[in-house]
Amino acid sequence: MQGYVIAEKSELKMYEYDIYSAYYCGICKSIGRRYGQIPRLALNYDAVFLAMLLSAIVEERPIIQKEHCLVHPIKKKNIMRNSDAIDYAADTMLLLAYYKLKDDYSDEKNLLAAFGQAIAKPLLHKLFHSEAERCQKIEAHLSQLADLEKQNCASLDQVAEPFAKITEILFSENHLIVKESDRLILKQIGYHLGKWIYLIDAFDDLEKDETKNVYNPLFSRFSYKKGAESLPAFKIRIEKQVEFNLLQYLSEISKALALLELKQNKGILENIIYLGLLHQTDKVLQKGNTKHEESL
Amino acid sequence: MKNPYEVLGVSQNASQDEIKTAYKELVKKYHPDRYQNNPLADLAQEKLQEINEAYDALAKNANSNNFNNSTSYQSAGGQSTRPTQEFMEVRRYLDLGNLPAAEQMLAQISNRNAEWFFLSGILSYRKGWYDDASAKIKTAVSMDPNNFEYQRALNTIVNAGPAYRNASYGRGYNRNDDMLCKLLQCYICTDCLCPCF
Repeated sequence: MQGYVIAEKSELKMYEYDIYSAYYCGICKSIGRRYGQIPRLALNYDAVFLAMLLSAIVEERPIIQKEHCLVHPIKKKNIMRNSDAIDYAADTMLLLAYYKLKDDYSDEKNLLAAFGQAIAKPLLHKLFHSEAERCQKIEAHLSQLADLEKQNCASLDQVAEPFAKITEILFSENHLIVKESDRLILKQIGYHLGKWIYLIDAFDDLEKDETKNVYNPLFSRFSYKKGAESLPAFKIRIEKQVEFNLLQYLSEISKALALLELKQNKGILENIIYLGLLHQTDKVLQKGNTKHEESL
Repeated sequence: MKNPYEVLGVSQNASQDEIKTAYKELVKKYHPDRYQNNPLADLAQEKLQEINEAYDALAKNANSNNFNNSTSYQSAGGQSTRPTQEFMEVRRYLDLGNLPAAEQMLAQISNRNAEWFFLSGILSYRKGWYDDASAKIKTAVSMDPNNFEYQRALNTIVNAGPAYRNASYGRGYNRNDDMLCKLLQCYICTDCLCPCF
């Protein structure tokens, strides 16, 4: 995950913002407690969404404590404690971050990624051990994804499927969920969020991928001819269809969320789904489009 | 039974009008049409039933609405020709939710007519493959423009995004999050309120 799943901070109530931040710090502390300081660098807000969502379903009672933290040594921060959902989301995020480093290294021979992966591996061995079954599934899907990307797959749906399956597993296959209907809803949310992340990331990387001359599903899907068409023109040409797909996923996520009985965090979760994700969508779609940039 | 006031999200002393408005909003939100071809359709149906029961309990002159959620594919709507045995079979698999079987059948059918594109599109939609689904159903509509069933499926897909956007706007989403514009608004407001400007 890349940190696209964030709340629209300006629309959060003050107390919601405090809770949101406390989850973020709680995940950071959870990683530090169990895996040491270095993996804490992998932290991003995507995990906060997962933690808050699970927390809202399983009816746990987390507590907020004020604690010191390395990054903010003077001021005490609110930290969410005593939450299984936070530990689970932290593990999930570390797995994804680790596989992303691995992927960056094999894709681009990025030395920093190689270095990060080498450092992370021994630190996370406990995690690989406890999550062995899930790691196997993730690795299988990732190798499928690598194959599809090698073949220059031109079907958007097909190439996004493995990543969507990974997020589906991470959202729904965990010991915290007891009700089968909740599991079904989370499957739906996980799958569609995965597709949304994969596609928005692809659109966001168009410039980078064109410069590096590497595979991007959108180039294949909309037959981009380098040289025959300028990249801005290409983006304008495909924008509507990409937006159609992105909103389709968000629509499904919002419909699934409406069926969950949320015992807490409802306002924040709805903020993320209805405002945060839509804002990210619009922002990425309009990036570099001068027509829109003037108004920003 | 759950507290009907909680189910409808109204206060204990809400008026009949407030109850009715809340009920109508919720029915729109959980309407079967929105959850057509959705793995969560049954859960939405349960939710709707809960809402209907709550409304019946609270409305003095209950006029119960029964929503029919049987979006069955077994009866081909608006087909000018009699559907072939094979397509009937595919529809049956779709109704049962047996997607792999439907997919296999469709792959074997050589007659790639409008019906084939439509059913392939519905199959893709069920899988969550919307890019694929929209292309196929558009093809079906262009091959058989008078088919109401195809048209309706296409409308459902095309309207989902805008409906989600509307819900976001309803929650205060602001597309032009333009600081300057906001500041100007503040300035104008202050201007109205404060004579010293």
